[in-house]
Amino acid sequence: MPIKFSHLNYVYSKDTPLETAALHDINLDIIDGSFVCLVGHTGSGKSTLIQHINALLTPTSGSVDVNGIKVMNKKDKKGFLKSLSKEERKHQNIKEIRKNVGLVFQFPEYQLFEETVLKDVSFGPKNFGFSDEEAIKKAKESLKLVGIDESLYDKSPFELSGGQRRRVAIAGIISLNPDILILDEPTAGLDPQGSNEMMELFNILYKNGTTIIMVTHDMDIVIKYATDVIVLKKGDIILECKPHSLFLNDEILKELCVEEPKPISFAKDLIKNGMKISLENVKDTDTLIEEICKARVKYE
Amino acid sequence: MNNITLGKYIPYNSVIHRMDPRNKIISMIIFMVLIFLKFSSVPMNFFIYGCLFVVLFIVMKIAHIRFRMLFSQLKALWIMIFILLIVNLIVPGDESYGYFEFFNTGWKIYYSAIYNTLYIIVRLIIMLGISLVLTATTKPLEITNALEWLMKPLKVIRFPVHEIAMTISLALRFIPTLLEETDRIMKAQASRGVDFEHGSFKEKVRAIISLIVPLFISAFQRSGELADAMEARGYDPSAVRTKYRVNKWHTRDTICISIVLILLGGLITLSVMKIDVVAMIVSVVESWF
Ligand SMILES: Nc1ncnc2c1ncn2[C@@H]1O[C@H](COP(=O)(O)OP(=O)(O)OP(=O)(O)O)[C@@H](O)[C@H]1O
Ligand SMILES: [Mg+2]
Repeated sequence: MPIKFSHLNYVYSKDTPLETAALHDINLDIIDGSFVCLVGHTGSGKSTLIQHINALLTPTSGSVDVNGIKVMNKKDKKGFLKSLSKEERKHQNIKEIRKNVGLVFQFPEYQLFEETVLKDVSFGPKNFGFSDEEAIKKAKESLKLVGIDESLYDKSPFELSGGQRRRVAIAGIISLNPDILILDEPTAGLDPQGSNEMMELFNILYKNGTTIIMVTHDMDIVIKYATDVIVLKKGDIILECKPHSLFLNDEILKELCVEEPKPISFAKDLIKNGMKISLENVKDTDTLIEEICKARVKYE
Repeated sequence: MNNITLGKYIPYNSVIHRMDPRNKIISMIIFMVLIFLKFSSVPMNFFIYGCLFVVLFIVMKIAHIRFRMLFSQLKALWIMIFILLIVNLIVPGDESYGYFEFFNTGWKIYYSAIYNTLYIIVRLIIMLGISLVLTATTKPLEITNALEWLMKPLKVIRFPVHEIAMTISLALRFIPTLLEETDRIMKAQASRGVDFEHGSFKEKVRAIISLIVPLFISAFQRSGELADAMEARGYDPSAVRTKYRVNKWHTRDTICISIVLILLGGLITLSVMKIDVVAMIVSVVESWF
């Protein structure tokens, strides 16, 4: 399910004194099977951007095309629908997008509401028309994936710890088997181990063919998992690149006020001193060691 | 989804925005009293409501509040109005205004029932409009400051004025936060397939539950956190404190309150003396022809 933004603008509270332009003329293509990380300062429009992909926000102008279904404002959509045949019009269903695009909000634990964990996770599938048994089955599968123990299934979500609640909330989206999974800072506020487990889970989903779009401030995550990076600044896309080229671009690093991940700076130093390793392959400490070994072998 | 504007301050720089909040609150209260005055005849009642409407409209124009905002808030009240109408129709009304029979079924529909419902609708609209003017043009903090000042005399009888003012200001402070939270949760549930607009009654109930429960939980959590934060900073309700913002009474406030008081005096006179302006106008017009 490819995603295509074309000339998208978004303005909050239009025509009031509180008017804020959050996105300007966004053009962007996200291909199937990519792991995209969105980075940028707070307030740069990351959350606004991702909410367009499953039509929670409709563009002030321009459009997002998700697998042929257009997200546009009411006026544009009317005109667009007119230009289609009856058959094609049937396909333009927003609910279809919501079914295929799962969005996990920042601090998703605040959206839990059912009496039990299992019920809460099966809420999504039920809404999209699965029978009770199927929904429960999907819920159990995804709870297992996120690492929630079976003994917690019948507990109230409000009795769980913050981290467990986050997992349950994420399971609630994964249970929809989305083709595209969007995550808004899923690891914020988790301990390093919890964060790693979470990332491994997303990586598994990615390996199974899900397109992942993730907002993050964590450069270690970017370098380790991302296939593409998009840098936003005040509502503009200022850079679209591969993760390692982000760390070759000093200007951007300064702009983002981030330090490069340790393995990267280590690798850079090694390269500077004449060791022949390829920076593209360095993703974390393990891959760095591999690269060094390879280089040593060549050297000897 | 984000078109809920009730109780939200909208920063413009109009005369109304710059008025003293004490003046605005007093004027609002007087205006609300005006709505509940009863006049000598039905046409007279509607005539006065019409005049009040014009005043409200002018005030809203000056304060840059769009009329659309008022009506978007009325949407939620339609059900209530409908129920009121039904109740009024079923309960036997005042025969003095006459009645007609409902398609020869023997069911009497009293005109007074219809009038009463109409009165309530009009009052609701005007009341909503007036409170909209207050909240849209006055920062919550100003409102509570003014309330605290207005309630000062009650301190004599040991009424906890400051505490009440603080509670109100906190409540007002959290309206926009709760609205944001509502928007966020609605979006989160929408991405789990909840449809807040369409669907059967049962689905709608489920949709509302999926919104209300998280909203309450986060509200309770917030209030707990806020209480802790205030305590941690040593907040003591009984302490004497100075104000950062001091209310200033200008000439424009005197003018405004004078107009409102004249309106009050005039309308009370009309009401008490049972003067029917409409009948007078009608008779004058008739005598011309
Ligand atoms: N509901 C809203 N009403 C008005 N303005 C908003 C609203 N939500 C966001 N904005 C504004 O839009 C801009 C982009 O906000 P957005 O939430 O997309 O930023 P972000 O990149 O996700 O930031 P963060 O990293 O803090 O989550 C900001 O300037 C913000 O002030
Ligand atoms: Mg955000």
